[in-house]
Amino acid sequence: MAEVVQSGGRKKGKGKKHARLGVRLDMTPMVDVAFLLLTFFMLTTTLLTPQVMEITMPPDSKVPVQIAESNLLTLRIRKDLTVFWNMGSEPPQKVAEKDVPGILKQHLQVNPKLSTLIKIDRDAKYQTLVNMIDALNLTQAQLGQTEKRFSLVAMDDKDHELVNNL
Amino acid sequence: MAKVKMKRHGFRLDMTPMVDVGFLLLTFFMLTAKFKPQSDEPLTIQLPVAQADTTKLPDAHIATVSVGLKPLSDGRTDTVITFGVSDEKDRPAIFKPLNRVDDKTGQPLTDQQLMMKAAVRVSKTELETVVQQARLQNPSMRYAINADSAVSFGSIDDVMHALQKYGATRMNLITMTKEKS
Repeated sequence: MAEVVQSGGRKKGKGKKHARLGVRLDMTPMVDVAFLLLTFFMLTTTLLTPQVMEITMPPDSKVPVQIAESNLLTLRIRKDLTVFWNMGSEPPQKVAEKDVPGILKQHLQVNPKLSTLIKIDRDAKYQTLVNMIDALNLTQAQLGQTEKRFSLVAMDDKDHELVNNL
Repeated sequence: MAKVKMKRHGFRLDMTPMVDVGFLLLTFFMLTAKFKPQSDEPLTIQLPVAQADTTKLPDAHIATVSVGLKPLSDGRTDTVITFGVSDEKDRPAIFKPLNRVDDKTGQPLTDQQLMMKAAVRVSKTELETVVQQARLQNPSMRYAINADSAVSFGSIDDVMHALQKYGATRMNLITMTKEKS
């Protein structure tokens, strides 16, 4: 708070006279505004940062990667969001979305080097893709595996042919 | 009965500590608050739900590709892609090749105006241009895909290919935890 101190004259040398002049400042409007702003910022802030799922893709998808058939698990997601799975070149089998983590767990436990290939129809929903990656991440976390081995491609004509009539 | 004479005692309350705390909180919220940046096309995105993610998206050096659905008058939906850059200073260089003009004057947007644009709506081919520019402007930029859960995988695939083409191979898919849905 502002305060002004006035020193008395020393001319006569007889006792000093200090006259204090206190300046009172009404702080009410300032406090009002401050609390108004406080309320505003408190109500408008979101202390939430979005969480992310990190995926790494190969730099050029045209370079083929060789992989042993026994190390490959393929998940195919059809347009109607039905999920099919198969090992290597076995015929695809239908699986309910909620059973995918079970299958992944079963195979990852036996073979930690297993790579998962997610083949998804271009018309399928993004949520299904996220669910698949999520299931894979969860399973790997449960098994204590840190290395992510999965790949993501759109279904081609051959895949459509393979799963369309199942 | 004798009247009890109530004597009014005026009392003073020291409000200093309260005001102190008030200002402290005010400063905190003012400094941490981030306003929603203006975007070309404000999209409402229903994020996909995931359980396993614990990684948080960093604040700086982020380029966000948002893929949202915009309802059309005839009941169908249109897929809209916007490209956002978190660092203001990088925006002019990245958005310049798009040759956007001011809606009112028809003049090309100035650097100052481009700096204010948090995100710009882009077509599929323009997306490649901005990704390339972003890669040149800041090689350590990280890329996030902020897509609606109902978007078809095809649009996501296009975005991923555009990023892959210019060597941005690490992508962050923005998700939401199950509890909050």
